[in-house]
Formats: sequence, structure tokens, C-alpha cells
Amino acid sequence: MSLRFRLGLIISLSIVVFSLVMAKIVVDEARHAIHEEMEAGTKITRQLLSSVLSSGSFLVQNEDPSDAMRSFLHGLGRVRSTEIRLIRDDGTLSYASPPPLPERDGRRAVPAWFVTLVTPELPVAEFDVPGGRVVLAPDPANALFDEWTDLKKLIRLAVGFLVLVNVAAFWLLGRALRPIGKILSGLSEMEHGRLDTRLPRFHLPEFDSIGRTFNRMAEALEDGHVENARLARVAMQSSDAILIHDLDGTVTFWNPAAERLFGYRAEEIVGRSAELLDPPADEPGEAGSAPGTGDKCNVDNLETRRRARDGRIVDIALSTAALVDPASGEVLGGIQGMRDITERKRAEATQRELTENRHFTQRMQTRLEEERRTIARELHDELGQFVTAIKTIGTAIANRTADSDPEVHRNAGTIVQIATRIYDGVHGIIRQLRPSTLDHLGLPAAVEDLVKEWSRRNPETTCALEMEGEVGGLGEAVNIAIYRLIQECLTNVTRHSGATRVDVAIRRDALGLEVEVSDDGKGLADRDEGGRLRLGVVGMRERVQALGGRFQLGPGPGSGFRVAASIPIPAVPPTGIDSGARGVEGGG
Amino acid sequence: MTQQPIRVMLVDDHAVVRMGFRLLLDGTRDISVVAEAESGEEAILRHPEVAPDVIVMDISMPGMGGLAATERIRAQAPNARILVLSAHEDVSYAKRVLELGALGYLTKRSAAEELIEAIREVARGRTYLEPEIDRALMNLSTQANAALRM
Repeated sequence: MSLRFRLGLIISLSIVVFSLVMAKIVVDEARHAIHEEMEAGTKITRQLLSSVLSSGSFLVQNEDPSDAMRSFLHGLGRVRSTEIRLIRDDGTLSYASPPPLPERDGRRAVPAWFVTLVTPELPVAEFDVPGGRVVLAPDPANALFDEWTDLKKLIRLAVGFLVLVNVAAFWLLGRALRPIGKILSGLSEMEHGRLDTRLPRFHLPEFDSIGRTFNRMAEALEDGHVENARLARVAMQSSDAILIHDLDGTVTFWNPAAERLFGYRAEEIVGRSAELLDPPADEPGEAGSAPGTGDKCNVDNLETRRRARDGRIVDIALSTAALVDPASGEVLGGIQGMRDITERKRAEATQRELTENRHFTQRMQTRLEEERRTIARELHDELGQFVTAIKTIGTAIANRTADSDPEVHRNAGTIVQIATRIYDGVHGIIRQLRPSTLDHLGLPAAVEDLVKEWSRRNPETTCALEMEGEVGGLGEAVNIAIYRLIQECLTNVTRHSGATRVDVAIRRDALGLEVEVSDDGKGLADRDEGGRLRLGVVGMRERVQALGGRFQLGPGPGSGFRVAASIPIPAVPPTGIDSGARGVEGGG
Repeated sequence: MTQQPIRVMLVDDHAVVRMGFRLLLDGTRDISVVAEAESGEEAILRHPEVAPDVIVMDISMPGMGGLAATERIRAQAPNARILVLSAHEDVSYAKRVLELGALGYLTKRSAAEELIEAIREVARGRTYLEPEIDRALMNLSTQANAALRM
């Protein structure tokens, strides 16, 4: 039953009850009035007849008193609601007052129930008149009619009012309750997920308040929904594997990245224990995935291991946090974020190996240089000195026998020549083995001498040396590496290039140290003879890389060949007008 | 012409080298080896007593070495005339040696042929350099001057 109908019913019932009460009062009134009327009528009639009888004035001469009475009564007619009958002594009806007009006869026009309800019980009065008796019978017909007419008016009025009030109430309620329909349809739309539903403003303050509350709620829902959707996307699209477990360690959430990382599909692992991922006991992986670890303490990027579905052990960086109900602060479980660091671990291992290799190369180079230095010193100190002695003695003999003994003189001369060649050979080897200038005078002097010596031996090629910035004091390892690099390059130029010009440059600035050797000879493709060059290049590259530097090899500025090495030893910012460009030009 | 011979002190750690030089120099009439030392330290010690006209100093010796000995002797006796012998044919060495106050620089390669002439030059108080090194050194100083002028 709708509210509208109920309200209508209540109003109608109220009016009906009110009408009934009114009707009762009216009926009581009517009965009373009728009673009064009839009593009064009977009384008046009796008094009238009494007075007429006692005065005898109705008596006409020579006339029968009975007839006279009849005439009188006839002349009197009907006295209000009292029926008057004259009955003769013999019992016959002499006279009866005329009946009420048919249209005003209440007994015919009024319903019987009303008649019974309001007709009073009144005694019939009789008194004797000459020649018979008069019977006075109260007759409520007229009064009934009057009362009924009044009551009918009242009933009509009540019914009209009832209908009017109901219609008005129905219309007003319909109008007032119209927003309910809108609110209902809004709620229904909301129920179907259309969270952008909003209600209009209403005239009634109560409904308007409901509408605004509804809109606020919808907004909050929509915001929450958007936020939820965003969070869901984040969790689903995260490149990190995300696992959520409850307090028992049962997996409740598993994102696609976790699927990819571990091979379990969400439907396979959700509902099972997170311990599934624990590596075997003998595997070194300290933090288990069992609950407890994530519940109380939050860890951040702990490097540990997990077992994938196929048994593969995965290196991961684990971050855990407790899953806390924001409302109650109660811990519901744990969230684990896992990042695959297998690649990184592998890269780290490779890097470690590389570094070890470089250290090894560095150590080997150092050792090699030490050996070379020792051999050079031995050659110089022992063999060199003896050859010098032989040469000197030979010369002394030659000088002394120049005039006296031409034969000995000649032979001594031969010894000196041979000794000179041995000397040159030995010192050539010594220089190759260890540039002594490097030990005594530093890198710039050693490179200058190297270039000069090379130019002396290769007069057809111009070799230009350019040094810029502070190149001294770099330390043994760097010194020897640069020296050997330039030495190797120059040797290659001699051997392979047919170049007419070589440029050697050592520059040091805030970015680091750079060594460059370029020539205008044959290109790389025409130069590789039997891998000798390749071997030399490998050696150079190793030396440079052992110092953490970068080694480049390629075509020269025009034609030819270019070798460049950059080593990260930045120059200290200059304090004075020191370290200008230095250069040595040799050869030609 | 009765001239006093040039009195020479040989400083070299190798006895056989000293012997060779003595043999060579004894073959001349104007040069006489009056003393030998086998280290820089010994040379410094004996220099005041011997007071040679020319010291022939090997550059690489155990101990303090020829360069340091040259410097010390020059500090004690600013007039000492020193001819430095070296296995190094690098110009840088020659330059350094001359800066330390030696008068001559001779490589061991040319020693046999040039020693006598070199001692004579140094004894006269002149600078002696092998032609090749002389040329290179000139080159170097020209460049240095050019650089200074810039």
C-alpha cells in the first residue's frame, strides 16, 4: 500500500468517523425535535379542544353537538403533527383530519430505518366530546420529512467534503512525494554501478537534504572507486611481483608480474601457503615467505631467494609491509613486493670477474715491467759495462799499435767495431725493455726521448708530439701504460703504415687524461699482418682498461689510423700559469 | 812543449771499465789517471785530496749515483770540471747533467773514440757534447726560447 493511498485512507476514515459522530448528534437532535414537536402539537390540540369544549362556543343552535364538533374539527383541519379523529359513540369514524401532503409525508419519503430511529413513542390521547370522543394521535410525518431533508443536506456536504479533501490530499501528496521516485531511480542506477548519477535540487528541504547527502555519497563512492581502480591497475601492472597473504600465510593476492616471475598463475597459488615459494632448506635464503616475517617487521629491499614453480631459484629484492585495516589498526596479513634481481646479480658477477681480470692484467703488467726492468738493469750493468770495457781496451790497443803494428791495429779496430755493434744491440734491447728516462726524468722526458729516438730511426716520417696539461707525476702504472701505448703505436707505424706523418698527443684536463696517436698511412684493413697488430692492440686495450680507461681504435682524421685512450685521472685545477703547451718536433 | 799532464780521476763502479779507460788514457801523453773511485761517495771523499783537473763520472752507479755526486762535488768545489759518462743517449739526460754543473756529457757508446778529446775540452773549461746531442739540445733550447718569447 503506497504512502499516498494510506494517507488518503486515513484522511477519509477521519472524515467518515467525524461524519458519523455528526450524524449521531444530528439524529439525536432530530428525535428530540420531533418529540418536542409532537408533544407540543398534541398539547396545543388538547388545550384548544378543551377550551372549545368548555366554552361550548362551537355549538350552533339546533344542531347536533356531534355534527357541530365535526364541523368545528373540519374547520380546524390538521393541527401540526397531530392527527385528529372524531369517533361517534357507536364507534364509527365521524371525522379524520386530512393526511399530510403526499410529497411531505415523511413516512413515505424517508427511509424506514430513519423513521424507526427518530420516531418517539407518544401516547394516544382521547377525550370525550358530546356525541363521541376525539382521538389525538401524534403523527411525525412532517417532522420526519424536515429532519430527513436537513440530514440529507448534511450527508451531501460531508461526502462532497470527503471527496474534495481526498482529491486535494492525493494531489498534494503526489506532488510532494514526486522526488521519492527520482531518489529511487538514482539509487537504482547507483546500484547498477553508474556512480556518476547525481540528484537534482528539490523544493522540499527534507528531500533536498537527502538529495545533497546522496550526491555527496555518490561523489565519495566515485572517488573511492576511481582510487580503487587506480590502485588495482598499479597492483596489476606493477613490474614488481606483489603477493598479499593473510595471517596464516595463505596467499590472497598475486599479480601478473608475480606470475611471470615465479610461473604460478593466480588461480593456482591464491588460497595456498606462501611457503610454496621458500627455497629448499640447503639454499641460502634467509627470510622465509612464511607469515611473521612480514607481519611485525617491515623489510626494505632485502636480497634473498625464492623458488619458482619449475624449481628454479630466483634472486629477489624483497620488501614487506604489514597489511593493516585502516579503521581498526588490526593487522590482517602482509604485503610482499619482490623484484627480480637475477640479471643484476649476474651482471654483478660479470662485473666482478671483469674487475678481477683487470686486476690480474694489471698485476701481470706490473710484474712484467718489473721483470723487464731487472733484465734491463742486468744487461746495462753487466753486459753493457763489459762491452764498453772491450771497446775501450780495443781502442787503447788500436791507438797504441797505430804506428808500430798495423796488423794488431787492424784487428783491434775490428774488435772495436764488433763491440760497438754489440753495444748498440744491447742498448737497443735495454731501451725496449725499460725506458730509463721514465725512472729518472719522468713521463714527458721519456716520451720526448722516445719520439726523438723514433724520428732518428725513421727519418722519412715526421713525428709531432704535443703535450698539454700536467702530465708528470701520474704514477708508475699510468706512466708505463702510456709510454708502452705510444711505443707500440710507433712500432706499428714503422711496421705497417708507410705514413709520412705521425701525431702523438698527451692531454690532461678536468675530464681526465687522453692519449692519441694518429698517422696518415694505410688504414686498418690493409694493416693487419698475421695478427701481430691485433695482438698489440689487445695488449694496449688491456693496459688501458686495467686503469679503468677507454680504448678506441679507428680510422685517422684523413686517411690512416688512429688510436685513442682516455684514462679517468682528471687534472687538479691549475693554480698558476704553469703547464702550458709543450711540444717537440723531431725527424725529417 | 813540456806541459803538465791533465790529471784525471775515474769514477765507475765497474773495475773492468776503469781498467779500459786507464789503458786508453795512459796511451796519451797529456792525460794521466791519478785516481779511481768505485762510487759517488768515494769520489766525493777523495776529491779534495786528489784535486784532479777532470773527473770522469759514470752516471749509473750503486749508491748515490753520478748525478748526485756531481751536484755534491760542484757544491764543495765550484770549479771542479766534471765529464759525465752515461749509457743513455737521451737528450734529457745531457740537459739535466749540464744543469747540475757538469761540463761535458759523453755516451758510453762514443766513449772509446771521444773520451780523450772530451777530457781535453773539459780540462780547458769548455763544454763538451757529442755532435748529435749538441744538435738536439740546441733544438730544444731554441724551442724553449721561442716558447718563452710567446
